[in-house]
Amino acid sequence: MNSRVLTLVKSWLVIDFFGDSRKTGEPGSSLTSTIFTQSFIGLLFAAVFLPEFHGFAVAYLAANLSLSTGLIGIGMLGEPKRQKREEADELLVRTAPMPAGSLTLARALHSSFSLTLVTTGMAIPPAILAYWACGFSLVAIPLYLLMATVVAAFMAAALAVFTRFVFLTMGPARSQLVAGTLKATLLAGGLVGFAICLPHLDETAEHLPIERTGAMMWPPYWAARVIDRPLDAGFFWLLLAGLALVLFVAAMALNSMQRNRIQNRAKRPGILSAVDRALTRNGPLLGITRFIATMLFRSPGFRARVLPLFGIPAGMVMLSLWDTQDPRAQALLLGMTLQAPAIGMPFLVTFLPRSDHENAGWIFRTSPHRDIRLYRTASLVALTTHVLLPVQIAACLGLLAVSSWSLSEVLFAVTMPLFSLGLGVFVTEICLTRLTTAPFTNDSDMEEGAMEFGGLTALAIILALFGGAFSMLAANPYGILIAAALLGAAIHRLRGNCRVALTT
Amino acid sequence: MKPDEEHPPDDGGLHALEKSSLHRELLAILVLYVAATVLPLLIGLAFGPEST
Repeated sequence: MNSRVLTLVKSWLVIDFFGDSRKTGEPGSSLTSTIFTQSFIGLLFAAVFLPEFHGFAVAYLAANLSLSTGLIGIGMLGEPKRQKREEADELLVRTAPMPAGSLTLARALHSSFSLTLVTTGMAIPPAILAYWACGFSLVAIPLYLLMATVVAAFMAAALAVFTRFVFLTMGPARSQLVAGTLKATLLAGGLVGFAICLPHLDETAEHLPIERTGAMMWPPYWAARVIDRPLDAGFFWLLLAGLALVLFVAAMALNSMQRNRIQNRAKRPGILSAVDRALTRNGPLLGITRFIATMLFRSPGFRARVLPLFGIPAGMVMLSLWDTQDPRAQALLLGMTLQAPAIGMPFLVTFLPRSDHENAGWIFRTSPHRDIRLYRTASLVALTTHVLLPVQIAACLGLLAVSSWSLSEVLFAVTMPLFSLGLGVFVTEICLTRLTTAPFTNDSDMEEGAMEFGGLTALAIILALFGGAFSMLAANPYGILIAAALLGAAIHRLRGNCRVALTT
Repeated sequence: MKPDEEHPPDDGGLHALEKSSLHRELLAILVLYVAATVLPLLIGLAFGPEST
């Protein structure tokens, strides 16, 4: 084979294996550790759920294939460094004296080799156990290994096509954000999917909560059907071939697409920005607040940590629809769950200083306003207006939407989020006392002082207790008074902080 | 011109050290594959559904 192709593939593999560890100076390779960990997870999962009797192979195979496919998808998405590497790569190969065909061959070889390397580690244990699950079928072993790689390749290709499409139509920043959001969704969706489907492992697809139609939308299920009865699964072979064709056509179409460089900037600031302005007036405090508020959702790493908080309103609605015998227990659960944004705040504050771009500190380096109180207040306002406020508003609307519009339910839906918002502001202010540098400007990961686990657990218990206790009062006049007083105190505190910061 | 100590000039190919490191990692993964084959075999023999 062409030695230039092999050199390129080897170089990419060296970057895959040692790119991260060489930067931080750690010995060994992070990719090998990932492969070992994922293989162990695959072995554990395959061994624990191995069916005791024959006849449930499809469910077992589909669950194992879903695990490996999901992990491949999550591993692919939301890596802030991926884009940088792609840009550097483009620069390298464009100047290389290589014909386009060799380059495509090198890319294909590298992608397929690295994908097979990771997938095989996870696929071997379930493939061996598939021999027993499928009724002593030797064919199941190689077929499982093949299908695990095929569905993982489909997942990787589908995600690559989608993020590439977003990149071409909406630009690199939004494509990174979409990838981060997709990663959080995949993670949460995977957890929920396993939680609701694993209890039905000894049944057929009809008994799943997502029913047969839901299973038919998921390619690992097609692959499981093929492995179980390869000769009777003509329809599923066709489905897999069809998906491959669709992905190939989509990739080819994207290849000829030009990047859309039209700016789609918002013409005027949104409602949340108006709240920022009302609190911070103008000057450096408003500027820093706007910077932090923007970065909260623009930084791919931070966004991946913030976005799961927005799943709480959906969780609220699901809890409300959950038919519990005791309405007090339901209110208690809701009250405790609504404190989750405040409980998660120490994590967010810990990761707040981390920058996505090296030397991002230059933004503030020449500023005459470098008092840490200014950064803490700006962070407090940004986290309140762009994290706590939208989550609690969404929770309030969600609770109202599923309520029966009785006075007590409406009161609960309004006072509980108001109370949680007020409490959240105080918790955020306390957490921000640990902030020692300007947000999103710290290049080193080492300097972040993570809150101790004991402290986090204590905070979570105390906040859940507060939330649970208030939920008992939320629907009566005392509840309204307490919520209004707490929120009033929180706003007063916010304004007081802003006043102090403006005079520094 | 003073040579850049942090960024030494490219020697025109993969460094021998990187090559051997890559081979070592691939070998480690191969060992993992062997372990990932033997362990489930034992688990299957011990706990797998029996033929009737």
